[in-house]
Amino acid sequence: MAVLAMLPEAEKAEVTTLQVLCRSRQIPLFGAIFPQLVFGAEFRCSGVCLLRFDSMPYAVLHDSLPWHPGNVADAADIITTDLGSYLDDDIPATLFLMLDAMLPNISSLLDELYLRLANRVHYAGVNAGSESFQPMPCLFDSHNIVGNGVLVLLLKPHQGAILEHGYQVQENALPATSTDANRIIQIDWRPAFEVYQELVYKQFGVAIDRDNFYRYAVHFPFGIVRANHNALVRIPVMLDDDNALFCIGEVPAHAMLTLLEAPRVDSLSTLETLQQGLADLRGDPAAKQLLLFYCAGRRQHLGDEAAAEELRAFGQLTQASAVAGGLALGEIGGSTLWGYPLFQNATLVTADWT
Amino acid sequence: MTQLNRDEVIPILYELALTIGGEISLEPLLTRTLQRLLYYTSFPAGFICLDLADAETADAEFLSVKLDAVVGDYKLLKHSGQKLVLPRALIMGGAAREEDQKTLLSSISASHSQYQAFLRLPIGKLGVVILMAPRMPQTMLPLTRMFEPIMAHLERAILLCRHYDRRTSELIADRQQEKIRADFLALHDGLTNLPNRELLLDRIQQAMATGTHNGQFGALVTLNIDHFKQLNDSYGYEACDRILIETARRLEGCVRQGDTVARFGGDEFMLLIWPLPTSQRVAAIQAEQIALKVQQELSLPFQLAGRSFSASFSIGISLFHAQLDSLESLLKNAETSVQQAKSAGRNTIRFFDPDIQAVIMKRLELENDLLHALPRREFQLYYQLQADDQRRVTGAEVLLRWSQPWRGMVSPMVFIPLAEEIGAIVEIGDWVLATACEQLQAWQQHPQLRTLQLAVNVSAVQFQQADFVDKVCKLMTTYADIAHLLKVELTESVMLNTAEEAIQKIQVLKNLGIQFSIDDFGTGYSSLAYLKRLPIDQLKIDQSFVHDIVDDPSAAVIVQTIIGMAQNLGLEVIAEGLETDAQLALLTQYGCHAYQGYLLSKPVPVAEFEALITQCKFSLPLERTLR
Repeated sequence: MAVLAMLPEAEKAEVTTLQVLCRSRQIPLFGAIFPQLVFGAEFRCSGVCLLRFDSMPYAVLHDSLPWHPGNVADAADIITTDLGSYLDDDIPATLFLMLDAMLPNISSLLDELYLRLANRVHYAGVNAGSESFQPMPCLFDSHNIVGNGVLVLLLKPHQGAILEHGYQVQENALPATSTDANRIIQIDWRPAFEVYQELVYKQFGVAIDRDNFYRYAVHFPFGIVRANHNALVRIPVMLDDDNALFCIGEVPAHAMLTLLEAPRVDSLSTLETLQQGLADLRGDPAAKQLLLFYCAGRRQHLGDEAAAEELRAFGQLTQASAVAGGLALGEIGGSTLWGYPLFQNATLVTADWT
Repeated sequence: MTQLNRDEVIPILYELALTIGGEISLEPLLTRTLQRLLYYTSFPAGFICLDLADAETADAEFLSVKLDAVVGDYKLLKHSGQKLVLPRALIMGGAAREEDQKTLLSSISASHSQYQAFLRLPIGKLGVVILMAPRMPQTMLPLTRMFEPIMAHLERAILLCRHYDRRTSELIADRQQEKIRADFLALHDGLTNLPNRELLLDRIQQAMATGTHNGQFGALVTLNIDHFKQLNDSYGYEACDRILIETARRLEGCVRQGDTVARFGGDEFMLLIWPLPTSQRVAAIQAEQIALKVQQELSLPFQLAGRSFSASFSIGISLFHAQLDSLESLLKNAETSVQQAKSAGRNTIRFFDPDIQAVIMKRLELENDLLHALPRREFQLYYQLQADDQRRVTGAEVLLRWSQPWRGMVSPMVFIPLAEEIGAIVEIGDWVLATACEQLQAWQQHPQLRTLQLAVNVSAVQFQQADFVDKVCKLMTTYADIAHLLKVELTESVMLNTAEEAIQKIQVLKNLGIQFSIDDFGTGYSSLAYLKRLPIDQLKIDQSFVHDIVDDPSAAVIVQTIIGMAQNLGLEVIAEGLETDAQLALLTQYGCHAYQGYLLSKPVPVAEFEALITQCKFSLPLERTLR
C-alpha cells in the first residue's frame, strides 16, 4: 500500500506530521501542496486529502534535476532512465507529473519526455506551490519536502487524463514579439507591461500596478494559437524590474502570442468536453472516483462563485462517486485521446483515480 | 475554399519558421520541426522521410524509404534511421488531409493499427512529412495549403543543414586525422616512423613492471652508425636521412614480434628485446643472436643515388632484470655498452656486463673452434662395451669425443648442445655414422670382431633431416653387409610433432636390416601408443634410473616397469650406466640381460677396444654375480 497526499497551503506544516505517521507505519508517502484542495463540489483551505494506492506504484521525487535551458534533455534522461523497465506495452499507463510551479521549462521537459517515451504512456500532471507565487517547498515523500522538484508517478493500468479550458480566442490579437522561457519581454515590439497597462485601463478603467497586477492579469492571459483553435492559455503572474511578464509555464522561444482580453468562458462546453473525454478514455460512461485539478488562475478570472458552480456542475454531470484534487498552478494533458502532451493554464484536468 | 485567418495562421507559421531557422544540423531540424507541427496541429505522431526520388521504383505499390525522423510513436521510433517499406499511396503525392485510412495506415507494420487519419505535407521534391492520428484533429484551417511556405523553407533548411553536417564531418575527420598524426608524432620519430625516446622509455618501464612478477630478462640493444658525422659531411643530410630510414626498415625485420625498435635520436637506434628467458646466460645468448642478425643485415650495402654504400655499426647490449635495475642505470649501461663497442674497434658487438661479455666471447670462440673441428680431424670415436649375462660381448656404443689442441678434451655435455644450436650437429652426426660403418666394415676381416654390433646415437635434428634415410641407404651401399650390425639409437624426442614420419623412416631402414634402440628411455615424453607402433628393437634404460636403482625404490619400480613393458612388447632391454655389482644384481633379478657401463669398461679409443676384445682384458663380473 502507498498514499498520495494533497494538502492546502494553509496546512503545509502538517506535512512533517504526515511523514512521521507514515514512516512509523512503513507506508510509502508521496504528495504535494496546492493553494487549496478540491473535494466534492468545494474548494477547501483546510484538511488533508489522502488517496490510497493498493499497491505501491513507480514513484520518484526528483529534487535536483538540471533546469538550465540547455540541460532539459538531461532532466528528461534522468526521469526516463529507470521508467522504461516499469512499462509494459500491453498495459496502458499514465505518467502523472507533479511539478513545482516555479520551474521555468516545463513545456520543454514535456517535449523531451515525448521524444523518449512517445505514446508508451499517457501524459497528465499539475503544478503545485503557493498561490502567492513565492518559492515554497511543495513536493514531498516519506522523508523530504523539496522545492523546484518533480514528483513522477506511473499509474498502471491507467487510461490518461482529459483537460479543457473552454476559453474563447478573440480575433484582435497582438503579437508578443519577444519571449524567453516563461518570460514575455515585449508585446507588439514594446515593453510587455506598458502594453498591459494600456489594455487593462481600456477594459476596466483601472491603472494597473505591481500590487494589483495579479488580480487583473488573470483577465488578460496570453494565448498560443494552435491550428485546432484550441489555444494554450498562459496567465502572467509576476513582473520583473524590466517590465517583463512572467507566466506559469513556458512560451515557445520568440513565439508570437495573442493577448486574450477578458476571454469568455463556455463552462457548459468545457464540462461536457471533460465528461465526454473521460467516457472516451475509459470506454465506459459509468462514473468513478475522479481526480480533478482546477486552475487557480481560472478561478480568479471567473470569480469564486462561478468556479464553485463549475465544480458542482462537474459533479452532477459526471455522477462521480467522489471528486478530489487541488487548485493547480498549471496543468498537463491533452484535449484528445493520445494527443500531444501540452502544458496549459486556466484548465480543468480530470482523470479516473483507479 | 476555407478563408485563411491571418491572426490564426501567421503566429503558427512564424514560430515554425523560427524553429526551422534556428537549427543548423539535420537531425534536430527534422525532429524539432516535426515536434512543432504536432504541437500546433494536435496530431500525436508523425514521421519524415527524405530522398524519396532515390527510393521510388516504377509502379511499385510499396516503397523502401528511410525514416529520417519519428516523433510520438514508440514502436515506429525504434525504426528511426532505418529503412521501412511504406505504401506509395501514403507517402507520395501532394499535400493531403485524409480520414478513414485505417487500412492504409495499418500497413505501417511497425506501428500501432490505431491510426485512421493523416496529414501529408510534401517537402518540395525532397521528402515528405506524415502526421498521424487515431481521429482527425479538428480545425477550420486549410492545413494542406497553409504549411506550403514552411515546407519550402524546410526544404532549403534541409539542404543547408546537410551541407553543414557534411562539412562538419569533414572537419571532424580532418581534425581526427590531425590528432591521430599528432598523437603518433608525439610518440614516434617523424623521419623513420619508429617509436621515439618517450615511447621506448614507456615500454621499457612496462617491461620492467611485468618482469618484476615473472623474473624474465630483457635486453637493450643500442647501435649507432660509425663515423656518422663524417658521412653527413661527405654525403649530405638528405642521403644520410635515407640511410637512417633504410636502417629502420632493416632493424624492424630483425626483431621478434613484440620487440620494439626505436630511434633514440640522431644516428642512435635502440632495440628493446623483451621478454627473454629467466636464465641470464640463455637471455644473453638470445640477445646476442638478434644483435648478430642486426649486424648481418646492416652489413649489406645501402643504395644511395644509384651508388652502393656500406656503413658499419657499433652495437652494445645491456641486459636488464626488472627487479634489480632502474631505468636511469639501464640507459646509462646501454650508452656505455655502445661506447665499449666503438672502443673495441667499431663494427662490433659488446655486452655492457664484462662477465656476460666474457661468457659470450668464450662461447663464440668455442663455436668457432667447433666449426673447424671436423675439417681439422679433431673428433674421435670412443667405444663402450656392451655385453649380456652370458659373458658375451655383443658390441659397443659409439661415443663422440673432441680433442681440441689447446682446450684438451672438451666435454660432450658442452659441445653437443652447442653443435645442435648452431646446426653443426648434422654434419658431425653424418661423420659419426659413416665412421662407425667404416669400422664395422673393417671388423668384418677379424674373426673375433666381425659379429660385434655398434650402437650410434643419432640426434633428433639429424634424424629429422629430409635426406637422412637417403644418406643411410647410401652408406649401406658403400659398406655392404653391415646393416644388421648397425644399431641406431634415437631419443624419444624424435617422435615429437613428427611421429608418423619417424615411424615411416625407421621402417624403411629396418627393411635394410638396421636395428633401432630408444636411448635414455623413461626420461622423455613419448606416448605409449606411439611406442607400441614404433618398429624398434630395444629400449635402453636411462643411466639415471640405473644409478638410483639400489637406493631409490621409485627408480627400482620404474626399471621393473620398463623391463616388464619391453617384455610385453617383445623388445630387448639394455641398461646403461652400470657401475656397481649391486646394480647388476638387481637388474639381473628384474629380468634385464644386457648391460653397458663402467663396471664392464669405460669408453675407449678403437685400438684399446679391439685389444679389450682380442686379449680378453675387460672385466666381466657377470658369472661372479650370477653365481
